[in-house]
Order: sequence, then C-alpha cells, then structure tokens
Amino acid sequence: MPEAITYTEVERHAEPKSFVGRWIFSTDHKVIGIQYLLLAIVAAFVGMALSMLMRIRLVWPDRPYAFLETLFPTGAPDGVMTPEFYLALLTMHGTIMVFMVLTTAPQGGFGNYFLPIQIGAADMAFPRLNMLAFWLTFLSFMTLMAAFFVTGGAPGSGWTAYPPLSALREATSAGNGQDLWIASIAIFCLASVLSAINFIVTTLEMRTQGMTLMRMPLTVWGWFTTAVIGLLAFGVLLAGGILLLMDRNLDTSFFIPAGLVVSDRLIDRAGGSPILWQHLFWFFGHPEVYIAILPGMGIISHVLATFSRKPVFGYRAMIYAMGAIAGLGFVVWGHHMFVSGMSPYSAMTFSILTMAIGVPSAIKTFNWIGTMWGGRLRLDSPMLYAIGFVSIFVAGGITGLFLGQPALDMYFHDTYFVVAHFHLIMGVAAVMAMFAGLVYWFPKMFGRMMNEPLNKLHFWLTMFGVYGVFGPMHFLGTLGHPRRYAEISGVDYLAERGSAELHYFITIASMILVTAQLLFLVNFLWSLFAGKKPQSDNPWESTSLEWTLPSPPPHDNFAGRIPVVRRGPYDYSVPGSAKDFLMQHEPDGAGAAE
Amino acid sequence: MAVTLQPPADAKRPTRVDVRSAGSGGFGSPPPDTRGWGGGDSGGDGFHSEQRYKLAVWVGIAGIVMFFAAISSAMVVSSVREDWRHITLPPVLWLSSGALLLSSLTFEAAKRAVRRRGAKDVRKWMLFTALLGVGFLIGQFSGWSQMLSQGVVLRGQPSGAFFYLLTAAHGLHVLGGLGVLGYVVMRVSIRRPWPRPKAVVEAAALYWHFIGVLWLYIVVLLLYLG
Repeated sequence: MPEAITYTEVERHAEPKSFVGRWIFSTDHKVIGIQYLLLAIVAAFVGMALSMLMRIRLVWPDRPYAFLETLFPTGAPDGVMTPEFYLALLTMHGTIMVFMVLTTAPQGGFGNYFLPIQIGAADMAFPRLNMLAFWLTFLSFMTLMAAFFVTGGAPGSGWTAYPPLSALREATSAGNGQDLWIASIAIFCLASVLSAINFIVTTLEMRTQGMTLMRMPLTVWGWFTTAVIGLLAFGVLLAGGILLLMDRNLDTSFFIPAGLVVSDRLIDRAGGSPILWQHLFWFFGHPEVYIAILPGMGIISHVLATFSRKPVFGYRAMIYAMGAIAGLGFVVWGHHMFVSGMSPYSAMTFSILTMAIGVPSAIKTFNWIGTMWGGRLRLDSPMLYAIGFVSIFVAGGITGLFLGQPALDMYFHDTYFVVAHFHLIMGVAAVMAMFAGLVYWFPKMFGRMMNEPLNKLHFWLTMFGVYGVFGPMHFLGTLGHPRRYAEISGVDYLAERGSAELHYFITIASMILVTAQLLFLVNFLWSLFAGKKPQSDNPWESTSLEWTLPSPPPHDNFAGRIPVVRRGPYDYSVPGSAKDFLMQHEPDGAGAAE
Repeated sequence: MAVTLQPPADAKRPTRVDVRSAGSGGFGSPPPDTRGWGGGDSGGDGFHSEQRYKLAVWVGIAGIVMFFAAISSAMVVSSVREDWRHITLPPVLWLSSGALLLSSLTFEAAKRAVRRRGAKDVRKWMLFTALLGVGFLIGQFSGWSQMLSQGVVLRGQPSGAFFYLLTAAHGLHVLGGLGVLGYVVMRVSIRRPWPRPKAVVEAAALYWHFIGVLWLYIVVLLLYLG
C-alpha cells in the first residue's frame, strides 16, 4: 500500500480586503511578481520603440516625422532626428532594456511569483520589504522616463555613462537628463539590494519540510544565485553613481581629468580619472549580464526537463556551473576595458578568466542537450522558446570567445560585432527565457492558456527576426563599422563593402521582429480574458510544487497546508513507476492504484 | 505596564515529519540531502523562524560592505593623484567615535534585558543607545563644520571629498539604525503583544555593532590615506 501525501499545518494569512491593499500596495509576492512583469512589459515596448527610431534614423536620416516633433521638439526639430537625439535614444534604449526589463522580469517577476511557491512557502520572508523594493523600482522607472522631458532631454552618454561626457554639465546633451538618469539608477540599486536580501533569506529560511537545497528546482537555484550576484554588485554601481553625481553637482573631480576642452572652453577641473569610473561600472556591469541570464538558465532547465519527460541531465553540475559563472563573473570586468591602456599582463589575466567562463557555460549547454537527448519531446510553445534559447545562447556565446581575447578585441571593440554579441547572449537569450517562462506559467498565474498556434507563429517570426537583425551586425563589425554613430558618410571602406545595404536589411528585419512582438502582446491580452481554461491544475504535467495548487493560487498559496517534499524536482519517466512523472510531494508508488 | 514579550498562545507550531525516511531521492535526481541548514532541512514554517531577521542583517551587511569597498578602492586609486593633500581629522571625531562605541555596550544591555523579559529595562537601554547615536551624529556634524573652517571643501580637494562622502554615507546608515531603534522602543511601549522581540532586537544589535565596526574602519582609512 502506497504511503500517503503528508502536509505541514501552518497558520493561514488573512487576505487584504481593500482594492488598494490587494492590487496596488500589496504584500502578496504573487501580486508583486505580476507588478514587476507588467512594469517590464511596458518598459520592453518603450525600449523597442526607441530601437525602431534608431533603426529608422540609420537608414532614412533626413526623413521628417511630424509626431517626433510633437514629442521631442528639441530632439527632432521639424521632425528630423538630430545626431544628439540618436545618442539619447541609444542611451535610453540600453538603460531601459538592461535595468527595467532584463533585471526586473526574470528575477523580480517570475522569481517573486514562483520562488516562494516552489520551495513551499506562504510568502517571501519579508513581504513588506518586497513591496518597498517594487515601488522603489517603479519610482526608478518613472525617474528615468522623466529624463526625456527635462531641459536638454535624455542623456546621450550610453547605458555605461562614461565620463567625462556624463560628468560634465558643459558636455553636449547633458542637461538635467543625466542627473535623473543617475538618480534613477541609484534608486534601482537600492531596490535591487533590498530585493536580493529578501530572495536569499527566503531561499535559506522558508523552505518546507523535505525541501533540502539539493531538491530545489533549478529555477530556484537560478534566482538564488542571481540574488547573491545582485547583492554584491549593485552596491558598487551605487557608489560609482554617487561619485558621478558629485562630479556633476558638487564640483568634485573624481572622474574628470585636467586639461579638458569642451566647446572651445577649458574645463576648470583636474586630477580625476575617467578609467576609475570604468572599473567601478564594469565591476557591476559584468555581473549584471549574469543577473539577466541566470534566472533564464534556471527556467530553461526546468522547461526542457518537463517537455522532454526526462530528469535534468547533471542536476548538481548545473548548480555548480551557475555558482562558477557567478563567481567568475566578478573577476572578468577588465575585458570591457582592453583598449583603455591597461597593462598587457592585466589584460592577459582578465582574458584567461574570461575564457574560463566558457567551461561552466558549455557544461550547461551540453546538459541542456543531454536533457533533450532520447527524451519524448513535446514541442509545445514553452519548449520551442527553450530550444530557441539554447540556439541563441550558443550563437551569442561563441562570439564571446572572440571578444575575450585582447588581440581580437582591439579590432572589434566598439564595433557592431560587440552589439551583435551582447544582444544575442544577454538580451535575446534572456527574453527567450521570459517567453518560455511566461507561456509555461501563464495557466498557473491567470487560470487560462495562451493561444498555442499564435505562440508558435510568434516563436518562428522572432527567431527569424532576431537572426535577421543581429546576424548581419557581425558582418558590419568585421567591416570595422563603429557602433553609436547616428550616421557614417564618406567612409569609403564601409560604403564599398555594402554597409548601407546591410543596415537596410537589418531595419526591415527589425520591423518584422517588432510586429511579431505586437502579435505576442495581443495574444497575451486576449488570453488573459478569453484564453482556453486549462484541463487541470497541472496542464504540462510538471513536478514542482506550484502545480499542486489551484490556478491562480490563493492568497497564502497553500491555504495553511504545505506539502512535505519527498523527492527531487525532476522525477520524469521513473522506471517501475505507474505514472509518467512523480511530483515533489508524492511518495514512492504514487499513482500505482490508477 | 501591560507589555507582553511572549509569543501569542495561539501561534500554531508546525508538526514535524521525519523526512529522512520518507521517499527516495528518486530516479535521476540526487539522493536526499539531509545536511544543510534552515527551512527545508529543519522543517517548519519559515515565518516562525527567529533566524530570518539576523540572517537578513548578515546578508545586508555583505551588500553594505561592497558599497564601502567600492568607495575605498576609489580612494586608494585616487590617493596617488598629484592634487592629493592630507587632511587632519577634527578632534571632535574622537568624541563621537567614543559615543558610538559606548552605544554598542548599551545595546548589549538592552539585548540582555530582552532575554530577561524586562520591558522597562529594554526601553531604558534602547533610549540610551539612541541618545548616544544622536550624539554621534551631532559630533559628526560639528566635525564637518570644523573641516569647513579649516578650508577643506569638495572642489579641488579629493581627500576632503572622500572625507565628506564617507562620513555622510556612514551617517545615513546610523540614521537607519536609529529608525530601527525607534521602532523597537515604540513596539515595547504600546499595549499590544509583540511576538518576536528577541529576534528583532538581536538583529538590530548586530546591525548596530556593524555600524560601529564600519566607523572604525572608516577612521583608519581616513587616518592612513586621507
């Protein structure tokens, strides 16, 4: 006779009654998770619109657009975008995408919603702190958006905000927009550190009985590792941001060197070092890449196992690889600065450490393939996105091996090759994981399924669009085409080799890509209200604890009865078992009577 | 004085199941890991875990350390600048340092009072601590004005800039600690039962001691580099 499922009885949490307490200033991790997701979706579409303007400016530089003049009278007089405005678009696109999309959605969104449920907790360890972190993030987003509408417009110093351009009021297009940018980032840092504390304590302290560390789903490991990185990285950016703000407003000279001449005027500051900012920024900036991608890696492992009906290949290796990536991520920042004049010995050290990240990354990639190998693949849309992630992760990762070598980077630095590399590996791969996560968890979060044919169409259009946009950028990079230029005219070596045609192709591909995302948005909104109801609470036949709950789960998740966990998270196709899968709380022999 | 420093009687304690004997690790997944710590390994509902406040402070300390490490490294790098001039720390800082160190002792006394469940003593020692904390901040502030009267400003004096930045950043952390102190005093004073005084006060004490240690570090840094 099979054992029974056991539960831990705990106190129930009272549900707030008022609308504001329930949906706005909510302490429920699920509501906060959805708030983060909505913020990220809005930010993603703003960021995408900015990138479209950039693509248009690159291909049709002189064409006027009346709506631009209404929106940005100084940035686009007579509707024609100025080169400075192009830099502002570039800066804001990067900042919005990196901070407000790639950092918020995978961690703040999915992590908030599913980490407590997957470890069997009623909420995060500190629900009010969680709420505070979200609203600080929201404030940060609003502050960033305000930069568009102040005197001087949005800053043009890039998402990396290199001084002296970012540090000098005298520099072009750097009015108060740059100050708002720094303030926004500082608030974001604070929110991220608070959120990271919550994630770490929740993972260590709130697990249900039997949920040992080595039984946690890889999603939880992804969020946990990301929280550790965020905790250690954001403080450094905050420190750098404060120094930069002081340089701009309090006459200090941390980053401003002597003898600068801006618009024929000698700047009356001395002694600072712009390279110091680069060190502080990239000490944060490189780990930030892993903040964006590690939660995605967790989601992809989870989805691949579920839809291959096989345990994750090398569960422990996956965890150790994440740890190695996180650890190495803190000692490779110098590879962003190979051309800054650093000692060749430093460059060699940074290069070797950078190459070393290839090892855990390859472990993960081969384990994903090993997970699919010989599995009974179910090619539902979450699985397609997950396979797409692996494809893009490999395509974007390979070029990292080029850029990590100082000799090659001397050539590729600040060309479109770099743009192609980081968009694939950091941007698109993380976004693919978000699609996989959103479609996979949609039935749990909203009690409805997304439209499957539309998702598949969106997947294929996105794959073609992404490779159509970023594939040719590798060629532009190898031609020596510099990034960040609004237009390049009269440069023979680029024109002769067809850079204009490549740009034209990329712009068309990007338009297809954006159309596909609008399709996804329509599907998302339509499915929220009119999607098909899932056949059960566990439509994908997954094993983790969220699938034991009704869809959507009640306010305190387990309604006072938290299941005791009996096994690891990926018991698919267990030999001798009557069922195709055993959920984490099910004892041996579950389903034998069926 | 109707103050309760005990958990409410109706708080349900979770029942425990022996997880070690229950279930296998399952095919393809690792064997059950019964080592480790916290939540799933010890069992129970994390909201009753007294550990989580202290753990949160430890984790938070790691984040704060990174923030100050970044400023410190910027200072180390900048200290070879040509325009770097050494500053003399204002003497009042020694007074404020003494106040901050003493406040760690009074905080310890408050912690002991919590263990003895003496609400009145808790409040007394917490107020002493807060007073010393405020004294520290006043000392820092007059330290600033002494520095200004010496002519140390932000412009053109990188060591001075780091002095103001470090003291201000540290002062903000003290201010945050004072906020927590105020919260504890308020909770101890009102007539509602407070289930977790020990956990919160111990976590707050940990943070307060950390602020003290951090200040010593900053003083040493300013003495050697500043």
